[in-house]
Amino acid sequence: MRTRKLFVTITAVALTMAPVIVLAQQKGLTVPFVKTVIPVDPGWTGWKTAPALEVLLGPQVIAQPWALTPSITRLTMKAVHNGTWIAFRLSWKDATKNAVMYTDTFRDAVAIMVPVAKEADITMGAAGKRVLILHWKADWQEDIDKTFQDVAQLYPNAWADWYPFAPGEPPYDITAWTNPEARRYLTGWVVGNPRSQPAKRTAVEEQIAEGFGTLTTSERQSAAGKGVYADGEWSVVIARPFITGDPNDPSWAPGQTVPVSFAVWDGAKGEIGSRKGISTWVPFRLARSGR
Amino acid sequence: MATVKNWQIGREMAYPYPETRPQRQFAAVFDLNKCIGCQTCTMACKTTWTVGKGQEYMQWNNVECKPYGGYPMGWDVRLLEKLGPQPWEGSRFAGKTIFEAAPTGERVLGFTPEELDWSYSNAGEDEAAGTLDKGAYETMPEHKLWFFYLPRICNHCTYPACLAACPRQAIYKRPEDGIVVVDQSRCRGYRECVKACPYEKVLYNPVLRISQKCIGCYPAVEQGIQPRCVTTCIGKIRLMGFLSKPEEAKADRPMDFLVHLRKVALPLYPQFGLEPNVYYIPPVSVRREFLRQLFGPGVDHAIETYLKGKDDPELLGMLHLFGDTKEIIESFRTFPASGEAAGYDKKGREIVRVPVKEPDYLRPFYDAARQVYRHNIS
Repeated sequence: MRTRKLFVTITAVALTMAPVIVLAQQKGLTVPFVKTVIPVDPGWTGWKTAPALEVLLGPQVIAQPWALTPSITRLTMKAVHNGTWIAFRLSWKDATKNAVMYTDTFRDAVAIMVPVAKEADITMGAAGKRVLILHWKADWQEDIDKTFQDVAQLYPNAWADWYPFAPGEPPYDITAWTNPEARRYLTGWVVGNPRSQPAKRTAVEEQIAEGFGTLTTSERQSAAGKGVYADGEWSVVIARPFITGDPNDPSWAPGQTVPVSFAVWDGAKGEIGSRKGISTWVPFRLARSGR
Repeated sequence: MATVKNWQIGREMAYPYPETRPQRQFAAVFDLNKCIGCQTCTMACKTTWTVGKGQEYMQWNNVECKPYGGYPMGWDVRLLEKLGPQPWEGSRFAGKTIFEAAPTGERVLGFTPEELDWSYSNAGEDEAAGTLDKGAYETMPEHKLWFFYLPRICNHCTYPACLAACPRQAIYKRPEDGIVVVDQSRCRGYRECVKACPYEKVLYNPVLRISQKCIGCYPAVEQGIQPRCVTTCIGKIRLMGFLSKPEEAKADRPMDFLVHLRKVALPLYPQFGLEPNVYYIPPVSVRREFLRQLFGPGVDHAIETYLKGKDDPELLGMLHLFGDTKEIIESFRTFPASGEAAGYDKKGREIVRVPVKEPDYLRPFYDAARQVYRHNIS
C-alpha cells in the first residue's frame, strides 16, 4: 500500500516536470548460473555472453534535497551467479571521471539495493523493512588503484612543517600515523568512519537502511568490487556472496526472484547523497544452480 | 516544515524541525570596538583543534576585515545577493529567511564555496571603505573612512542550517549546552551542511572526507571554562556564557544583561533566520547602513547605549569583566561605591573582581630617593 502511494507521488511529481522522465515498470532480468569463479573485473570475458538489461534512472524527489534532473538516466546492467556469489556489472556513459573529492568536488558512484525483509520500499526501505545497499565509490577505487589520497596526493605543492606527534618527516604520510597521540587529530579515522580509513580493502561499502537518512555501514563487509573508467564510460563490478551468515543477508538464493534497484551519482554535477538518479525495482530471476 | 519562534526577527518562521531549545544555550559577546585583528584567537583555535591532516586550510575561528574581507571570500555578500533585498519592518523581519527562500526540493538556500575561496582569509585586511576626499576631516562617532575586524566562530545557532540540511541527521545540538557538533562517525561528507551554513562555519576535510566544525571547546565548557578563543584574546573583547530566552532573562547573567536587557550586543545577520548565538557590540565608528545590514535594526540603540556606558555603572562593570577570568561567569555584580565589578561561578563563588577604574597615582616630578625625574602618564 505504502509503495503504491509513493509511486503515485513520484508519478505526480514526474508529470509536472520537463523533460518528463518515465519511471515505468522496468523489465526484469534472468540471472544465469555460471559454473566458474567470477573474477571481480569488468573486463572478464564471461560478461560478453551475459544477458544485459537497460535500466532507466529517474529523479530522486522523495527525500530532500532532491535531484530533479539527474545527470545519468540510463544504466546497462548485467548479472551472473555461481551458486555462491552473485555479481553485477554496471556500466554507464559519463563524460568525466570524478574520483577525487576536494572541498568543492564530488565523486562518481553507483549503488545496488536489495530487500532484506520480505517487503520492500523504494525509499531505501522503511522501519521494519530493511534493505541491503552495496555502494561502489570512485574515490575508494582510486585509493585502492593508486594510493590513499593524502595531502601529498591531493595537493602536491602543499607543504606542512609539522603535525603534532606525527612520525616521520614531511609530507608525513598518514598511513604511518600509528601512534594514538597523532591519530587523535584524525577524528574520522579514530572513530572508525569507513570514509576516513587510509587502508581500504574494497571499493564497495556494504550497508543497511530502514528509510532515507538511516544508511548504516554493516558490521560485516563481504562485498567486493572494481570500477574502470575508459572511453567516457564507467564499468563497475559489484559482487557479494548470497549468504554470509550476517543477519542482514537478503533472502535471496538461486531459483528465486528478488527485486533489485539502482542509483547512480555523477560527481561532476555535484551529485552526492540523496542527489542521485534512481531506478524502480527490477525483478531478478536467479537461475537455479546447475552442474 | 515546522513553525518556530525566532525572537531575533520578531516573528515565527519555517524550520524543518519543531522548536526544541537546549537546557542552556552557549553564547558569546564580542566587542568589535576593541578587536585589533591580532589573530591570537585564530592561532589558539588552530593549534588546539585544526592541526590534523586535511585541516590545513581550516579556521574554525577567523578574523576578517570588513567591508572587503571574508573567509571564505564573499561568503556573506554572495548569499545576500542570492536572497535579494529583504525588508525589515521595525524590529520585525518581513523578508524571507534562508529556510523560507529555499528552492524547490531543498531545505535551505545556500551555496558551496569554491576551493580557492578559502585561500584568502586576510583579503581586504586594513582596507578602508572608500577614499578620503581632499579637505575631508574626521567625524565622530561615525567615521567617513572606516574598516573594522570581524572575528567569527560557529554561532551555535538555535536553528542551525547545517543541522537542518543534513539528510542523515549527523549534526546535532547538544541538549546540555546548545553546542552544535558534527558526528564524525555518522558524517558521510555530503557537504549539504557546508552549502547550507550561511556563515560558512562547517568545513570539509578532504583527507578524512567528512565535515568538521567549531565544537565550542565543549571539553572546556563542560568544566566551567570558557573556550580557547575567548580566554586567549589579548584585547579582552570576548566573553562566553549562557543565554536565556528573552522572556526568561535575568539581570545578573552576563549574556542576558548584554543581549536582552541593555541590548548592546547583536546577532550577526539575524535576517538569515538561524538565531545565531554569538553577539556583537557594533563598532561605533562604522557607517550605520552597513552595520544594520550585518546586525539588524538594533544597531542604533546598541551604539547609543554603548556610548553612554560611562554613565551606566552596571554596563561599565560588566564590560570590565571581559577577558579577566578563564572560568565561565554565571552571574555578576557591580559595586559602585568601591568602583568594582565581580563575577561568580555556578555555586555563587566569587571567581573574579576587577576595578572599573584604575586608581590614579600622582607621583612627584623628582624622586629624591632614587634621584630620578618622572613623567606622569595616564
